[in-house]
Amino acid sequence: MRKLELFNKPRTLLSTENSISRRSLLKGAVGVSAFAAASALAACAPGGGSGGGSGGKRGVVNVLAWSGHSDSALLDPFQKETGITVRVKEYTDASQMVALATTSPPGTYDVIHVDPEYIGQLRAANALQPLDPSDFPDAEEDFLEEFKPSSKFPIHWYDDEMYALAWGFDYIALAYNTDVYSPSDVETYEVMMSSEAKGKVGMLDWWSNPLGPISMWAGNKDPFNVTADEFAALESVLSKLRPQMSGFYTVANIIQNLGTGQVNLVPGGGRQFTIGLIQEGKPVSSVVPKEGAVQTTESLTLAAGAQNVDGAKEFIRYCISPEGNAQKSLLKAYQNAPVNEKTWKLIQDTEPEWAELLGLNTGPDGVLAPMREGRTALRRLPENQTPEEWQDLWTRFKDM
Amino acid sequence: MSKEIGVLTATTDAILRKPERKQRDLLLRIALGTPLMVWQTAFFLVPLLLMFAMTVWIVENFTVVPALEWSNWTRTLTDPVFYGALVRTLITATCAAVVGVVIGLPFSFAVVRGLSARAQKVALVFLIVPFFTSYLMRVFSWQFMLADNGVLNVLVSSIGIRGVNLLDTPVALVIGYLTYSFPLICVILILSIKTLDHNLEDAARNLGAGPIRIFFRVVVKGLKPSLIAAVTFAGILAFGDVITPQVLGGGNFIMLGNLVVDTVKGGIDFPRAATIGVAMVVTIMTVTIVSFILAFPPKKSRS
Repeated sequence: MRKLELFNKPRTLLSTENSISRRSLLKGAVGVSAFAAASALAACAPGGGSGGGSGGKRGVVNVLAWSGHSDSALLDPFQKETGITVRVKEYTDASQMVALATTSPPGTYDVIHVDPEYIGQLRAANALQPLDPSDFPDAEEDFLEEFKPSSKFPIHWYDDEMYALAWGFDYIALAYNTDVYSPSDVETYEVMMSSEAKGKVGMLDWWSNPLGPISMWAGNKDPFNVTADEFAALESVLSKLRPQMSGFYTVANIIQNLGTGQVNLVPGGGRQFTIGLIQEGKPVSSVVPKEGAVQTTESLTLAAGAQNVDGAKEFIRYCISPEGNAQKSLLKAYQNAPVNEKTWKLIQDTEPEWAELLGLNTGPDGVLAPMREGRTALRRLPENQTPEEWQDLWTRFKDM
Repeated sequence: MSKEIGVLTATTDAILRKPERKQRDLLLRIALGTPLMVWQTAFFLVPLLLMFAMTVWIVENFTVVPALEWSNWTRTLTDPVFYGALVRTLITATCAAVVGVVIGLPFSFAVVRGLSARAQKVALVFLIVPFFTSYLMRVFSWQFMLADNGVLNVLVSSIGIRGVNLLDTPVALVIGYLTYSFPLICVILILSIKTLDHNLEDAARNLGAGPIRIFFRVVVKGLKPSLIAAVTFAGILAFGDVITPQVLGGGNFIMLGNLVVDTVKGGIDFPRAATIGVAMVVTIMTVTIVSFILAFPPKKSRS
């Protein structure tokens, strides 16, 4: 549900053609050379998988990815460079991803693009195999501190083994209409209870999105790790919030409603909802209020039954390279902050408007600030309740 | 034409005379009927039975596992949200269907009685044209129309009326449902009004019946099967719809279809969703059977 309807957002500042020409300009410079070196290194390494043959055609890598990731801007540079064909099966819902990853015959996918909170589930179903950090030297070298393999990003590591590499991140926080609210108004989620917010609060109709920030507003530092009492308290917070609600929407809808002023506050909203509107000149912004926000991460994993392990690793190396990460961050479907510091530099240099939109700076308004100031919690699956119980709470909330 | 009839009669004669021809005819009938039967079995009956079976399955680690557990049923049948949604869905769908027919009947009469035969055909084409566009698109365009700052409010405010908030209200729901079913209602009614014998109304008038009496005793009675069919069709379409409650109801009105979507989103709980699905199928079947009986009552034997 989350991201699929964003396809037609105009990418005004960076057209595909543009980026290709820039790419050729950049060849041999910072990004691509590092990736090429890594590829060469991989080619020298003794190979195990079936796809690592010699010659022009080097097999196929099957990827299971969020919708929007079969974009040629992302895949073509890799396919051209390596001769490996990338086949992408897209999903539109995280639970669909889990179902496909755990029930497809082994070998169906080589690389699985995940929201890392599901790694535990995938691992329990034997759908993943660990990654060797030494296969990805650039991750250690170039990644933001938090995402370096040596930092052991919590939801990527199990039993001291690394199962994923980060690919992008964002926040689920509070999006708002800047004509109606000043930055000081939205310092706290309490603004949702004000009289002018009545009937003007909208949410994405997916429990996992709005209930994170709302749980933090209710005082739960780790929003999905709540006791039975805290879970019950969350329901009473929701019942107070219900009269303020305008409605529960799809992604396309909530963006549209935020743009037209049908809703003015979107808990669970972040850059993913506002970037397109800001480009259209709409008065919207997003903020991490003092109660905090949920950090979402997108990560790449290696499927347990991967047929083309070498190709898969090479594809992952490309994806996290300065160039690959930039293409991912500026995807037509939706955009988020890259994890590779060289990608930051690349976008700052070549696409300054995008660097601005994505908050690629280390200042207090930058995308790193909330995480580094400790104001965010990682998105996880509920610890003490089942996802179904949270879903039922969500349905009751809508039915109040 | 007469030649064909001749051939047909000859065939019939031959069939009556020769048993092997009869057999061939049977084979022909089987050959003609089989594709539909295969289709219906593969894409309706099997999925339906699978859905029934799935209600006793369970979900483990986001994977549906066959089992024999009644917990999905106990959870659904003890869930007040489910009953709320059932009642709400039935009432809204019925309202939309009745409103559609109440508006559609005079409209259809106007088309049949007020337009030339040529213009009637044009009207029918115009009723079918909306189906060229996806229903989703049409519902989304209503959102633009009905929003607080939408087209409708801009228009009414220009004549000095203060904004009317229709989006996310039951009125918007009915509009959304009718977007789908109204053309269908009208096509059903237009085609059946055309077969209604005008002379019966004249006769009733000559015999001294007033317009109201003529309407109920002659027109409604003559159109009864079509009226029931139109209400049933429109009701069923609205009953299973998830798009309008989501897009025009703002997700504020949980219908059974939306409950199914929610249940699946919670963690691929297809089994529990299947129990709601079965409840929907049972409801729709009951409604269809009842309306069939109402439309075509069993003939009373004359003694």
